[in-house]
Amino acid sequence: MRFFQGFDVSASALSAQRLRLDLISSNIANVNTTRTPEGGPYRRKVPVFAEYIKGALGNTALKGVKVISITEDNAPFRRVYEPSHPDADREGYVYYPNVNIVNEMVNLIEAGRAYEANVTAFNSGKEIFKAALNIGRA
Amino acid sequence: MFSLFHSMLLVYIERLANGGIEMLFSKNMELLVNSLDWSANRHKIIAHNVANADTPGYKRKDLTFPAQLKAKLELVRTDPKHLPASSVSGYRSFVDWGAVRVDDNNVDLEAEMVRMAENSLYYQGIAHQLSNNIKRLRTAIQGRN
Repeated sequence: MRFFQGFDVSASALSAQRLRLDLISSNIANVNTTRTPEGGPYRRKVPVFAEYIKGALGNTALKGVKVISITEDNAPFRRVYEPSHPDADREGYVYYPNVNIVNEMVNLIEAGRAYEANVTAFNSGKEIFKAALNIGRA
Repeated sequence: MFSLFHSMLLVYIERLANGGIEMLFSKNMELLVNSLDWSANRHKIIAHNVANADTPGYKRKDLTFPAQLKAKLELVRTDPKHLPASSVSGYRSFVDWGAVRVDDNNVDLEAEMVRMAENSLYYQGIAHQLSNNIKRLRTAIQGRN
């Protein structure tokens, strides 16, 4: 419905940040995963955000944000000497995922705060909407 | 976001004006409704900025203050049944090319939240004024009880 377009903007950001939180959780959960269906250790996953607009230049409708893809971090794996590990190579080294737990925790907090900011934006829109409904009430 | 609602309000005001109450209320109320429209559009733009606070390369957007709202009210309409010009005239959106972060994005989340709170209060204030106008109109029609 046309009235609620402003809410869609915040909603798009909420689901984008939620996806980001899910990916961070997945990264943290797989911090020591050495086997994946694709083979090799787990690679850190990152969402790619893009501005979401519709319509031609000059007459654009703002739609918020959109996750255009989930990419894998190409940073090198952590190489740890562990000859007893079943996934160790000939020289006794194991390749662990390129996930840095400190980075993930910082991103987790940032994504949580961004989520809250969008909730606030949504609530602010709701207040405006309520004020509009009360116009002309005695 | 509420532009449909606002144009409906304008149509009602115009009907009042056609009924002869123009001198008292309609110009003022039209100005208020256009301010509401401006504020609702600004809310959407600020929400868009907050939504894109983490989008690399995004540049924040905003609306110019409706300095020409008054001039807009003088627009000549060839037919009184025409809807008044919609939200675009009188103010325009612009892209802020100011200082950027490392990811080429220039949204300052704190500043956006302040703008949002300010804009929300502005809308509520104008809506309140509009309500008061309607109340006064009601008093004029009914007299004091």
